[in-house]
Amino acid sequence: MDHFDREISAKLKGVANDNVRFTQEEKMAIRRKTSGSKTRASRFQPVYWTVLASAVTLFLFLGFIYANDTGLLNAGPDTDYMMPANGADMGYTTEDLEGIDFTIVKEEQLDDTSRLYTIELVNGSEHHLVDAVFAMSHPIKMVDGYRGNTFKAESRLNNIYPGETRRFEMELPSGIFDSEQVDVDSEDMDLTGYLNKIKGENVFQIGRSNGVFESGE
Amino acid sequence: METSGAGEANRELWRETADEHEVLESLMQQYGAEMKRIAFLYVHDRAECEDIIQEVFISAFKNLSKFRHEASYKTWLTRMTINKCKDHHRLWSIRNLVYKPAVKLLSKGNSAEEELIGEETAKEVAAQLAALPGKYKEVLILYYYQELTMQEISDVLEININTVKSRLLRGKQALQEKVERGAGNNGSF
Repeated sequence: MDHFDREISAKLKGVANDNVRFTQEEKMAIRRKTSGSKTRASRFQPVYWTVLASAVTLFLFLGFIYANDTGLLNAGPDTDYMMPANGADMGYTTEDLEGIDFTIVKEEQLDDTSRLYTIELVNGSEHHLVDAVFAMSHPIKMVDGYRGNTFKAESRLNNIYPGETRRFEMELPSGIFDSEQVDVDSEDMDLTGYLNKIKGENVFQIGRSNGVFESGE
Repeated sequence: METSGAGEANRELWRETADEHEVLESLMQQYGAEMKRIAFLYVHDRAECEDIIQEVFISAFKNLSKFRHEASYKTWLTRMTINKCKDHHRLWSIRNLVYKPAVKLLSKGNSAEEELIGEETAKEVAAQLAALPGKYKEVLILYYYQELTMQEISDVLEININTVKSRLLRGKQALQEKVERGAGNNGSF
């Protein structure tokens, strides 16, 4: 600020300070005018709540009908998929994979970090599973669901013959995950390998997720 | 004016006084007089600045829940005060256009309270400032009365800092011309 600025600044401050006071009466007037407005806003409004409740009921009703029609309510406790890992150019059909099943038969907390799962795999198919690898992980929570976790534990099972039942153990370091971000109470399981022969068109993959979806069944 | 410290102070104030009425009370106590004086310098009318300051605090109270603490309460209130002044000035202009086509902004009378030359020139400066176009006036008020930096003025008015610089320069020139012309007429500045 130069001399002119300082002089103007001093004069303006002088005029404003000498002529203008924020009085108690003005404060009272503001208090009076504001005391009613918030009270009105927070008062129970039956019409508003009735309309809101009706809208929510209608939404739930229509949502239920939609979910029923689209079969969302009929999903089982587990999510399975069976597919040739190399797409449509396969040397077998998905029916060939029927009878191959695996489940968690036992779960044991070893310590603060590790959890031990006993898996039972049944090859009820007529095919020889070659170079089979079993992978297990906890899924990552998303806003609208889950996605696979690249941090997997894997076990090489090698050959599993038709009719064979095999039990094996998988250890997951469940305790190292942030349970806010990773669903440590759910397990994604994957079995991959070749059907009968090590050939590109014979690669298969069978997946299963436990506890991801809930159902009314 | 707008620092992280100020933002933190705002949040503290908010936490300490969760009740909005208490926050309003605190804002009136801390900034009421200053905001009213800014309004007075803008509109140069005591009755009008009383109306404006009421509207500012009522509006602030209604919008307290939306206040995002990105700026200080002072910045927020100053911005609101300037905007209310602009609104009032538009209405005032229309009113006076309809009812009072001839308005004398400067009091040339020799009333008792204006006998002291210093006081008279100060009032004249304030009147000359109030007569400037709004875009210059708002920058000059923040610069001279609140002694804000150009960056702070830019933040309050939400305009580019280069615009602030040019408006400040032109506004000062216009005010200087008016003041010197006034001083030449009565030899008091």
